[in-house]
Amino acid sequence: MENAFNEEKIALFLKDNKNSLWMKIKKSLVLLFVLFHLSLIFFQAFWSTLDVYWTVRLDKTLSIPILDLFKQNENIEPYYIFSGTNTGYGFYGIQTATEKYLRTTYLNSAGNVLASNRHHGFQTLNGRTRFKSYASFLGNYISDTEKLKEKTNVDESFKKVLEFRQNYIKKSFKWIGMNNAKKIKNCESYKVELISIVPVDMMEKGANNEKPKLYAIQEYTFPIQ
Amino acid sequence: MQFKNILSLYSRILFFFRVVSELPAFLFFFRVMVGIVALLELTSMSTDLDLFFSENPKLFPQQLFYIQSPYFKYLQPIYNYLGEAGLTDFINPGILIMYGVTLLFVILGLFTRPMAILSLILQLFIYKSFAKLNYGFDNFMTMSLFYCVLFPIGKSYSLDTVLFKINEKIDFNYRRILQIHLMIAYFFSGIAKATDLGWWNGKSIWKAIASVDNEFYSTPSIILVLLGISTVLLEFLYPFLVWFKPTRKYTLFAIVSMHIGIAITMDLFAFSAIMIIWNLSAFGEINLNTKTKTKNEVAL
Repeated sequence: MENAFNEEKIALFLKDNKNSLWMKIKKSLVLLFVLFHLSLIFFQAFWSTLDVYWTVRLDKTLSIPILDLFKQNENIEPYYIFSGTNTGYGFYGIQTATEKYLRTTYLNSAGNVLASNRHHGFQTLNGRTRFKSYASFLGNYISDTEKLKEKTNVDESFKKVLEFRQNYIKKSFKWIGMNNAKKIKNCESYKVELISIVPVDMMEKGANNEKPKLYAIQEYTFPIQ
Repeated sequence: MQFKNILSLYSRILFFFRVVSELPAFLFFFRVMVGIVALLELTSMSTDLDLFFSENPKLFPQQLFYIQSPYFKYLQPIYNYLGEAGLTDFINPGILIMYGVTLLFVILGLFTRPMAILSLILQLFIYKSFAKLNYGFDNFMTMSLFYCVLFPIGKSYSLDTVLFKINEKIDFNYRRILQIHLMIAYFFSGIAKATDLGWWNGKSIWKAIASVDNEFYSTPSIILVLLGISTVLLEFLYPFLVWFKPTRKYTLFAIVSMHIGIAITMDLFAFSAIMIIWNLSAFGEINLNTKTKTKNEVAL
């Protein structure tokens, strides 16, 4: 009954839908494009969910020959970028991370603390939130680099990549505190730390309302040149 | 026989994308709200921009913000060219003003499509230049501006219709695209969360909201468990609940509440705002008294 009603509605719709030939062609092209676009969105969402599961849970790189063709590649990448489809949507999914931030401590020649800050000049809430994104990125980047270091039997190009990654991390830490350090009187050196909140065990948490514990994932101390 | 089947399928798909009476209001709402949120977000970090997007960023060289991103190969030649032409001093402040102006044009609906194309290009150039400071909002804004290019947003309550007397007929239901996009995004996000034990025992919620800047870490475990489970279920079931008319209103209320919660607990105000706009645009009851008639108008 429901189906018959739908058929009737479709027939009525088609009857009313008397467009010129050009309009019909245009409509068909729009429809084709929309179907292509939505298929890509579906594929990207499906693939990224599967890929993250494989990487995080099974610690393997997922590769399915046919599906690999539809993955973001150099032929289709510009479309992914312009349509914003190359995303995990910014929703938390598998393996949520705890908050991370960068803290700089400014020291005098005796090693005494002159000042400390974790906002690095960011004044707005939006800017500070974005800066935390950078700290999260650095946290993941350091962790991935550590994993790469464990690999054995590597070739020269791999060693170069590893060296580049280590340099990038060190340079980022160096730049983050440098400009402020130069402005502080008697500052001879500065220490930059990437701090993370220690995850709690939910079974032990209970009514425990202690402040979150913190630990430094990585730290560097630089002299002021 | 096969041709007849294909034709029948084509007709059904076309019927699915048939025009509905709320379409002009949807296009107007989406255009104006996306433009306003983009402008507000840009101005809300204006005093910080010299740290990470200026001719000489104070935090560290611009390149360090995008060198580790997939946009490097696109941005580097542009920056090289600008550097060689001595235009970086002009481009960085100028491009922000241009972006703001194009957004204003989009809001007003003046030269809407060209301005939407320009704002999409500028948004990508500006925000991908500090790709490592990006988060979910930036991708949703790219998608939103892409839809502003794709949808005929200038055909509804715009200066274009007043000044240039453009044809206001719309013969495709673009709202469906946003609806399907949202359903896919939430559904897969729900599946991803469901495979993580942390979302069932409250740990992932705690990790997401615990901060040195607030007291949410002290939220009782039972509330964290309930929030975690309800987030998984809401996202996973979203496509079904929001499509089914009797549950649509409640689903919208729940998902908007979830995004307000995200804004409050995680300070992600712009991200939450754009998500709420997408949800209301796609499934909200947007009605404006209008004389604008769409072709083949059908009630939803």
